[in-house]
Parts: sequence; structure tokens; C-alpha cells
Amino acid sequence: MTSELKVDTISEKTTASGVTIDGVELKDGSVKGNGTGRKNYIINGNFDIWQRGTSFTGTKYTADRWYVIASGTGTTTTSQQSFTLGQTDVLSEPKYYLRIAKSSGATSGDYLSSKNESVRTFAGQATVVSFYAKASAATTLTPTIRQNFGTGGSPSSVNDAVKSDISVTTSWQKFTITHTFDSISGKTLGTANDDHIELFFNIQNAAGDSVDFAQFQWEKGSVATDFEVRPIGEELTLCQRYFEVTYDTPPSTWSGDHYYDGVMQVYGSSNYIPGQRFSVKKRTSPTLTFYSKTGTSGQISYNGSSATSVSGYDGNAHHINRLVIGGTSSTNAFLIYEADAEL
Amino acid sequence: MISTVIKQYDEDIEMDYLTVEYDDGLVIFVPKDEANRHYKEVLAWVAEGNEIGEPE
Repeated sequence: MTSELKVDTISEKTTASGVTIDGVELKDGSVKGNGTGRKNYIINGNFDIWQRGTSFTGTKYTADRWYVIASGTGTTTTSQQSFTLGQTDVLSEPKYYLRIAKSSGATSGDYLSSKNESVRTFAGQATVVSFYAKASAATTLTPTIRQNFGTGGSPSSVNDAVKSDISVTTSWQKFTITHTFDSISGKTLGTANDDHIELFFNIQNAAGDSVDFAQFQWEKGSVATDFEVRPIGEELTLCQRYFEVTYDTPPSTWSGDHYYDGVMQVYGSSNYIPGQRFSVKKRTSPTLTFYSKTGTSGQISYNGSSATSVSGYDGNAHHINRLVIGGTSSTNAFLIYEADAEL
Repeated sequence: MISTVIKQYDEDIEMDYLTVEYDDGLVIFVPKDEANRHYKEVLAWVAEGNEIGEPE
């Protein structure tokens, strides 16, 4: 004998504060909707994607979608670090983590930032950030969550919520930050279509010390759930809305000829090189950086060993339309580029 | 730091991108789009009193 009970809501009779169920058996993937997939709003929270390289100094985008602002004095170095296979300090076997290190004699104050497109994200909702961190010496992180209404026109002012300091030790620990976003009712967006939310940390990293971060997740609700591991290809596609490259290793590391890091284009005119579609449509018209096959920016290499300066570029968020060059007798060129539409 | 910003032309028609060169020699092509972070950097550079130049 089987029976079926269908109701619209289940609530506690006296306080309506919730119902505790000791055990639920799920069958046939019957639970659907928010909370069961695509729950992590941070792109590259697992630090799997490093299109720009694996080591950086100063203020710049580092791992995909992660911006480091070098502050204080001395040199700030951000780098990819690898987890030991089988370690159990950070769950789900992540491959990489991000390290921010200060040179000796420096003063602290660096920032680590992750921006999510659209200030509509999480508006009026309860959220929780979870992540792992450790440091070479005990230190403090000050997190801030920001609603940014964009630029252009007369947008509303940014809305910052400075959260409680986080004490990081020399061992991996999981931390959570709960935050309920304000409603955006009555607010005004800028006209540049660049509004966003941002999570950033002020890092009190002392001279000669480093701080490590892993497995960031930002989800709805007030309880942090297990980290959502997404397929690498899916994570790369999410990153490429903001940044993509044709090369495997950054031009700053090249020695010798890297024509194979470009897309070979055949062109009929001596003044134009045809373009191509980006892997993913960009957030907005991207900045383009072209490289010769030996890594000189602003140039394109063509047949043989020669390179020529690019004097003009045209395109949009979907594609490179064409490159204008001074004119060559060649008809083959190697398109080596990065396209940047980060916030 | 930006060192120069130059307009781009295809024959005599001005294009929608600018050529931006930094002190370290990096050359990038920046769309005239306020949603682009590098164009915002150019606008800030102009607001400091710098001028966008013509190609030689």
C-alpha cells in the first residue's frame, strides 16, 4: 500500500520559525531548483583557471576573476600554489590555491577582490561566503561586501558593509561570512552598464609573510554548504566572458618563436588582417592586446620572421573584426591576443 | 602608468578604439566604451590634463 501527501507549505505551528526533519530520503533526483546546483556565485572560486599566468607582482588581475591591489610599501607577489595530492585540510581535493606574499621590509595593506556582474545579484537576500585561509604567520583579514551601482550618469553611491575581522592562523581553516544585502529599490544605476557586487579583503600581511586562500563560495541562505566543484571546461567558459587568450603561457615568459600560440589568418589585402570570433561573447567590448610571435605587444607576426605594428583595430563583444596594418607583401599572419572585459 | 593615447584611423575614418601605451612599453587597444575598465583609466588620465594624440 502506498500513499501520497501533497501540501503547499510546511511550517511550525507556534512560531513558524522552521521545521526540523530528522531524515529525508531522496529518490530519482527529485529535488530540483536553487541550492542543488549552480549555487556558487563566485567564478573561479576554486582557483582552477589561471589564463594570465601563475605569478604576478603588483596591482593586477591574477587568477581569473581575482584582482589584487598592492598597497603599503614593498613588493606584493601573487602566485599559484599546488595542494599536495590527498591532503585533507581542504575538502574535495582542490588542485590550487592563491598566495599573496609581501617582501621583507614592506608594510601591509594589500587587497584581494572578486566582483560579480550586476548589483541585482543577491539584492535583498541573505547570503553566506565560505572560504579557507592560512598564513605564514597569524594575521587578520577585514572583509567588505559592496553594492556598486556603476558609473556614468548619476548612479547611487556605493553601499559598503564592513564585516567582522577574521583571524587567520598558520593552519588551513574554513571561515564563513554571513551578509544580508540591502534592497536596491529606489536606487539609480549608472549608464555605463558596469554595476556589480564585490567581495574584498584588506589583508594585514606583514613584511616577509604570506596569506593563502582556497575554495571561495558565495551562496544564498545563511548556512554554508559543501563547496560546489564545477567541471574545468565550464569554469573556463564562465571566466572567458571576462577574459580570454590564445596562448598557453603568457608572452612575458616566452623565449623563442611562439607562432603556434596564435591563430593563423590568411588575408588577401596587404592592409587588413581578418579577425575571428571570441570563444565566448564578452561582458562588453574588450580591450585587445596583440603580440608578435616573440612576445612584443602592439605587433603581429606574419610569414617568415617579420612583425609589423598594428595601427588600428575594430571589433565588438562578439569578435575581432579586423586589424589595420601598415601593409606587407605577406598573406599569412598569426593572431596572438588577449581580450579583456573585466569589471 | 599610461604614457600615450593615440586615436586610430582606417584611411581617413576615425575608429572606435584607441591605442594606449604604458610606461613599461605595453601597447593595448581600448574601445571607447565606458563599461571598459581601461577606457575609464583613459578618461581619468585625460581628466588629469593629458591629451589624446593623433597618429604620426
